[in-house]
Amino acid sequence: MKKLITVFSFLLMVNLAFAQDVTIKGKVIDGDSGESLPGANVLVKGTVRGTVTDVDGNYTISADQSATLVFSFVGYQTVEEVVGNRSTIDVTLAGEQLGEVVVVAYGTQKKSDLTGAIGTLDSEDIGSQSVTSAANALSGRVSGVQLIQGSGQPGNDNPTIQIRGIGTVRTSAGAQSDDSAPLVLVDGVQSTLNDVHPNDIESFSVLKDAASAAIYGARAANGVILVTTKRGRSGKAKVSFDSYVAFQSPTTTPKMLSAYDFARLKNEAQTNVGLNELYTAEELELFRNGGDSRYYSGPTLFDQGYVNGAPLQNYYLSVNGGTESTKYLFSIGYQNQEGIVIETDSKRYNFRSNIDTKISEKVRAGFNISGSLTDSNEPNYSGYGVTQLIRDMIRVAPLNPMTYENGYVSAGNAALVGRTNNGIHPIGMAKYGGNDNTKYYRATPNVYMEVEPVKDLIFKANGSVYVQDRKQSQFRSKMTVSDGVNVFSSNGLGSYLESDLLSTTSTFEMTGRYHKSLGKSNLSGLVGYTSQTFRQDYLAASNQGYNSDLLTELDAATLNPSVAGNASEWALESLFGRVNYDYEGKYLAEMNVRYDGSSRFGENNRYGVFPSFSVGWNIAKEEFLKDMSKVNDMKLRASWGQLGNQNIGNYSSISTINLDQPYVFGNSLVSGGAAIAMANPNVKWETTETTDIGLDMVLFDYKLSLTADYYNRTSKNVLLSPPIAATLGNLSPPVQNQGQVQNRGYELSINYYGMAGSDFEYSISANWSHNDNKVLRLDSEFLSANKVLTKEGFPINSFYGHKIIGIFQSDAEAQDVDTYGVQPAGAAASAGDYIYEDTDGNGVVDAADRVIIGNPNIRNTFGMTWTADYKGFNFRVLFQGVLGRDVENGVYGTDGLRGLSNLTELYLDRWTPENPDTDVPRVATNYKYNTSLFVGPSISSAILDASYLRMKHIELGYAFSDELVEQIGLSRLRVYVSGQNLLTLTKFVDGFDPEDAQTFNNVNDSYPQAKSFTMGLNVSF
Amino acid sequence: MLILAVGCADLERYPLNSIGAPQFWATSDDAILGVNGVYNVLAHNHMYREFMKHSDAIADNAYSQYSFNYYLEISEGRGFDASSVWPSNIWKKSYEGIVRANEVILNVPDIDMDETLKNRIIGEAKFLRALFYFHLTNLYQDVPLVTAEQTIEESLVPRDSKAVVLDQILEDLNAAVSVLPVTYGTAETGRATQGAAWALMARVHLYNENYAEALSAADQVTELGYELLETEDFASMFLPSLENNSSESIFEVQFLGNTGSSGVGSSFNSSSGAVPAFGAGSYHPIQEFVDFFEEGDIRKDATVLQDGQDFAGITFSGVRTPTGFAVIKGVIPDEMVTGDGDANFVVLRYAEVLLTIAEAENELNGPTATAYEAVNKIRTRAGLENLPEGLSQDELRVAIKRERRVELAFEGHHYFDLLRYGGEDLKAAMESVQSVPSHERVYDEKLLLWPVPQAEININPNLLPQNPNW
Repeated sequence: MKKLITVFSFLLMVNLAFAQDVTIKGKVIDGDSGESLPGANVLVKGTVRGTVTDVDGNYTISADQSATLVFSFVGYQTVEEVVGNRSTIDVTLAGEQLGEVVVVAYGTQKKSDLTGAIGTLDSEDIGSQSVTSAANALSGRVSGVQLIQGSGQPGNDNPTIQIRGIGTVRTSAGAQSDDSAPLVLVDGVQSTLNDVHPNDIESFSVLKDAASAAIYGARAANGVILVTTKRGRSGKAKVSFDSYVAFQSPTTTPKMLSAYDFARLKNEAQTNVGLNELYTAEELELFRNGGDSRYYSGPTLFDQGYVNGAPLQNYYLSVNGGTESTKYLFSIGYQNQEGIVIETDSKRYNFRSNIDTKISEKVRAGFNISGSLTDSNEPNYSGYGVTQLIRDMIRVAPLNPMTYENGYVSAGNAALVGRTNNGIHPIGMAKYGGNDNTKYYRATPNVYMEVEPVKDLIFKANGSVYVQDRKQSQFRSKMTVSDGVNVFSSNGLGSYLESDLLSTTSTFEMTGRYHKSLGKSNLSGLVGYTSQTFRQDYLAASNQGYNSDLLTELDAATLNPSVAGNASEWALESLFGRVNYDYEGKYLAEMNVRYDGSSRFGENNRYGVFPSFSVGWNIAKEEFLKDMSKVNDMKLRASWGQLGNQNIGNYSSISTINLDQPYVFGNSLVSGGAAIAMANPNVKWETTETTDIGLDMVLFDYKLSLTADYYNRTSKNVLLSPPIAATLGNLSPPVQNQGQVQNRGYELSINYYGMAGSDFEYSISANWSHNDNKVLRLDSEFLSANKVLTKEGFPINSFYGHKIIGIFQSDAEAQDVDTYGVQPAGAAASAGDYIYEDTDGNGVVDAADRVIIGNPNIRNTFGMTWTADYKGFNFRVLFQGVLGRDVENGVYGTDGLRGLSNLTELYLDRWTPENPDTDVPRVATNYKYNTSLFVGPSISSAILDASYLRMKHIELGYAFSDELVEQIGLSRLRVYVSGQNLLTLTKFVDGFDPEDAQTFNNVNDSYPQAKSFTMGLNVSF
Repeated sequence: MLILAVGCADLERYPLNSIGAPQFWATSDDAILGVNGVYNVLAHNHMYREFMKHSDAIADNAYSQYSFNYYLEISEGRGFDASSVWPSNIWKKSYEGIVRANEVILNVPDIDMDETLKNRIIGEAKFLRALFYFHLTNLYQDVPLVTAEQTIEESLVPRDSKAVVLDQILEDLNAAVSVLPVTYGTAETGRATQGAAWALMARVHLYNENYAEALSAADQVTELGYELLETEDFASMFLPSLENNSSESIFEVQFLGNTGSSGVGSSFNSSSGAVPAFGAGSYHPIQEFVDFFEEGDIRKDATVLQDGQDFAGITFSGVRTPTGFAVIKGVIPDEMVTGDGDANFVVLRYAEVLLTIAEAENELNGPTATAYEAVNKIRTRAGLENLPEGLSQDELRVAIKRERRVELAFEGHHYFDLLRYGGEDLKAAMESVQSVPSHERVYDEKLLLWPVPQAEININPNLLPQNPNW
C-alpha cells in the first residue's frame, strides 16, 4: 500500500509540472426526461483525460481553451463542445438514438435490446497489450471463453479457443483438433484470427448461446466469434502510428539434471537393481568439474537452447478519414519476432484497406481487402521441427559436449560407449541440421453493395474470396558428426521438401432487412441467402542428395525424387431469417432460423433446420422500478436454440478406395488400393441445444454493471466414431450420430467504474466462468491411447489409469500381497516403488483396477482487469487464470532412469532409505512398472493440476498534454511501458508453464510462453 | 426453396484423390491395384517389417529392452494381457489383410479381363489370405473365419474352431497351387509363386502334425527345382545383393528404401544396433543363443555381431547394446542405411522345406536316411559335420529342433516353433534365459496362446470365451 501511495504522489508531482489548463464546470442533462444525467463521460478530445458526472449530473474538468470536450453516455448521442472562453458548459444529451451498440450476426444491435448471451471486447479495452496474435487479446477478458495456449512459437502461437467447453466427443486425445473450435468471421467473412492485425480490430463479439449464433446454423455449435475491423470516419485524415519493442524470455525453464547429477543418479539406478555402476568416480568428477572435454560439465541444454531477451518489434501505421460520402481506412503493419528458442523467428507483414462509399441516398458500397505474409523459421531437426528439439532438451542426458575438439558436432561419445545417448547433440542438430521455413500468404478481398429502395428496407449483397497459401521449404542437411574418435555422416542423405497448400473459401451472400415502428412497438426482420465453397490443393516435391547447405533448391540434387499432391472440397448453401420485436423497449423477443445444406452430409441427410427463440424484459423500464434510483438498468433474458456441428471431414458419407497402399515388385514401388475407412451414408450434423438465462444490471449511478448467465448446452446426435470390429478389415470406423454431451455452467462479469477526486478515475472488471462437462449418453465407452476414457456419466476424455497411493517404504511392504495385492512388477516390486492401488481388492493389480483419475476439461476460468487514470497517466493490469484443469504431463522426466533419458531436478528428492518422506519414487535401471511413470497405462502420479493465476499484462502509460503535443503538430502522443506474463502463481511443477501444458502428452514439449518487457509509443496527427 | 434450386453451390462433392468404392473393381487395373493392396499389409510393422523379426526376442534367441512395445513383457510372461498392444496389433493387421484378400476374391471374378491374369490374381489373394489366417491360428487358435463382406451388425460373429479355419487355409492353398505361376517376369518379382503356396502348405501341415501331407507338399517344392545356396552365399541371401534371385528363396516380403514413401523400406538396420549412427537398436541376441551355435558354424557370424568384429568398417563394441550383441542377419553392411532400407524379409526358403522333410519323415517313419539327408544338407552348408549315425527318433527330433533354431533365427520361426512344440519346450526356453541382468522369464501354461484382444471383445462379446486362463 505504501508503495502505491508513493507511485501516486509521484504521478501527482509530474502532473503539476504540466497543468496549465482552465477549469470548466457544468451539468449534463438527459434530453428525454429533462433530468440530470449521472455517470456520463466527459473527455478532453484527443487525450485520455476525462471525468464522469456525479449523482446530480455535475462535472468538473480542466482543459485548454482550444480543447474540445466530448460528452458521451451509454444509450445517448455523443456531443462535442469547444471550450473557448467558457468556464461553464451545460449539455443536453439526446437519448435512445444510438445507444451502446453491439455487433451481432448480420448487423448490430443496441446492447439494451440484446436477448442473447454475447460477450464483447472493444479496441480500447485491448489497450496496448503487445499480443502477437489477435486471439490472445481475448485471454481473461470475456467470460465463457477458454484459451489454451499450446505454443509460444513465433508465427505459430495461436491458442486453441473453446466457448463454453467441449460439446463434441470427436476431439481426440493428443490432437487438440478443430472439432471444438468456434466459427470465426472477420467483417462477416469466414476466416481465422491469425489473419487480423490486433491493431486493426475495432471489436470482438463472442456469440455464446444458441439464440445469438443459430443464424450461423451447421457451423455454429462451438460458438461464433465476430471480429469487426476499424473503418474510416469522415473528417480530416487522421494518421496513427503505433510501435513497440519487447524483450521476451521464457516464462520458466525446465530444470533438468546436470551431467554430474544424471550420472550420479544413474549409478544409483543401477545399484538399486543389483547392477554395476555405469560411471566411475573419476568420471563423476569430470562431469562435475570438467577437465576432459569429452565429459560435459557445462550449462544445461535449456541454457543453450532457450534465449533470454529475444527482441520483438512491432510497427503499425494507419490513416483514416473521408468525406461525407466516402470514408477510408488504410493500415500497414510489420512485426519482427525473434524466438525464445534458438533458430526460431517470424516476420509478419499486414495490410488492410477498408473503403465505404455512399453512391447516392439509396445506394452504398464498399470494398475491403486485407492481406498478410507470415514468414517463420524453425530448425528442421530431422524433419521433426522445434518441438522435437524441446523434447530432446528434456530427454537427452547431457553427457556429451556439443562439439568435440576435432570441431565436429557430437553424435555419441567414444569415451562413454553404451553409457550415453548415441544421437546427434540436440543443440548441434538445431544449429546445423537444416532449416524449415513456412510462409503464409493470405488475402481476403470483400465487396458489398447496399440498396435502400424505400426507407428502412435495405438489401445487401456481398462476395468475398478468402485465399491462404502455405508454402513450406524444409531442408534437412546431411551432417558430419563425430563420437570423439570416428567422423561419420548422419542425419540422412541431405534432403529438401517443398510443399504448397492453397486454400480458398468463396462466399456469396444476400440479405434483406426491414425495420418498422408501430406506435410503441418496433418490428424488424432479416432474410438472407448464402453459399460457400471451400477447396484445398496440396502439392509437394522432394529431392535427396544435397551435399551443401548453400544450394537448397529442388534442382540442386537428383537423388530419390518424389512428388505428392491431393485436393479436397466442400460446399455449404443456406437460407436464414430473423425477426425482432419489442414493445416500448421493455419486452423484447427475437426469433432466428437457418436452413443449411452441406456437402459433408450424406445424401439422405443433406439439409437441416436450426431455430432459436429468445426473449428479454427490461425491468428497469417498468413503472414500479422508476423510483429505484439505484437501479439504472435491469434486464432479464432467456433463450433457447439449436445449432449444428458439421466437423466430420469432407467425405465421411462416401466410401472410397485409397490408392496409397503401395508395395514393391521387381524392385520398384507400385500402387495398391484398398478401402481403409468405412463410410456412413446416413451421417448428419450434430445438434447442440442451448438454453440460457441471463441477467444484466447497471447499478449505483451507472458505476456498477453486472452480467450473469446460466446455460445448459446439450449436444445430441453427437458425431463420433465408436470402434468397429477388426474383422471388418481393420477399417477406420465410420462417423456415426450417437450419444449426448452436456456442458452446464454459469458466467459472471462485473465492472465497476469509479472516481476519487476530480482527476483520478479507476475501473475494475472481473469475470468468472464455470463449466461442467458430462457425457449423458453413449452406447459404448471408448478408451483412446490406452489412457483417455469417454464414458457415460463422466466428463469427455477423462484420464483413466491406475491410482498411486504412496511409495513402499520397505521390500517387505512391497511384497505384502495380502495388503496391497500383487503389484504389476510382481516379485520385483521394492522399497521406493509406487504403490498401485488394488481398487477391486482381488489381490492382483491389473488392468481391471484402473479408474478415472483426472478431468482434462477446464472447470473455471477467470480474469480481472484494473485500470487507473490520473491526468495523463494511465495504468492497467490484467490477471487471468484457470482453476481446475488436469493434464497428463511428463514433467518428472520420461523414464525414471530405466534407460538413458534425463530427469528433472525433482528427482534430487527421490525416495532413498535416507529420504523416505517424499512422493518421488526411487530410480531404477531397466523397465519395471513400479518406478516408471509412462510405461503402459497411465497412473495418477502423472496427472497434475494445471491451475494457475497469472498477471497477464501490466502497463503504465503517459499521454503528453495537448498543448505540448500540438506544438509539435500532433494530436496525440503517448508512451508506455508494459510487461506480459511477469508473475504466475501455480502449484504446477517448477520449470514448466501450466498455461501451455499439453493435455495429453507425457513429455511437455510445448514451445515456451514468453514473459516480456515492452516499451511502446502511440502517435496520432 | 426456389433460391436454393438456383443456388451457386453444388452440394454433391466427391473425393478428389481416391476412387469411389462403387466405381472400383471394373477393370483389370483395378484387380491389380486391389491385390497389390493385400501385399501392402505384409510390409507393415505389425507383420514382417518388425514383428516377425522381433518375435525371436519373445523367444529365447534375443532380448528387447523397451517395454513400451511390449516385446519385453511378452518374453517375461507377465505385464501383458488381453489389453496389451501386441495381441491387438496382430489381430487387426491379420484381418486387414484377410478382408483385402476377400475383396479381391469376391470382386475380381466379375471383372471382364484376361482369364489367366484373373486366375493368377485370385490365386495370389488366396495364398495371402491363407498366410494371414495361419498367423492367427498359431497365436489365438480359434478365430472368426471371415470370407464374405460384412456390415457392422454382421461383424459380431463368434470364433470358429481352428479346424474350420484350417480347412479354409488348405482350400485356399490348394486353389493357389493350381493357378499360380512357377516364376514371374522381372517386373513382377515378389508375387506369390506356386512354390510359395506349396512351401506354405508344407509348413501349415507340419504345424498341425499332418506329417504325410507335409512331406508331400515339401516334395512338390523340391520338384520345382529349389536348392540350397552355397556356404559363402548364406549371409547374402538376406541382403539386397542376392534377394529375389537365389535358388533357395521361395517367397520374400519386398522392401525398398529411399522411395519417399514411408513404410516400404525395411527397418532391419536401424533396429539391430549394429551401426552406431542409429543407436542401440531395439532387440539383441542373448549370450545363451550365441553359445548355442556349434563350433565352426558359419551361421553364427552371419547371424550375430559380436564384440570386436568389424561391420560396415566400424569395429563393433559390445557395450553398446544391453546384451553385448547385435543382430546382423538381413542387416546391410553400410552405416548410411537407415530404417528405410532395401533388405527383404525372407518368409519361405528351401532350407526350411528341408527341415520340414526331416521333421515330418522322423515323426512318420523315425530316423530314416531321408530324414538324415535333409538335416545333413543344412549342416554341410553351415560348415558342420553330419549328424552322428544311430540317433533315436527322440534324439533326431531334438537335433532337428536345434537345427531349426540356428538356421532360421530371426526369420519369424523360433517363437512359433516353441508354441507348437508345447509347454515343456516353451518353459525350458524361458527358464534358460539367465544372462540378461534384471530380466526374468516366468512360464505359465496360458502363454502357449495369446489372449483375444480385450478391445475386440468389448466390441464383439461373441468372441468369448477368452483363451484359457487369460
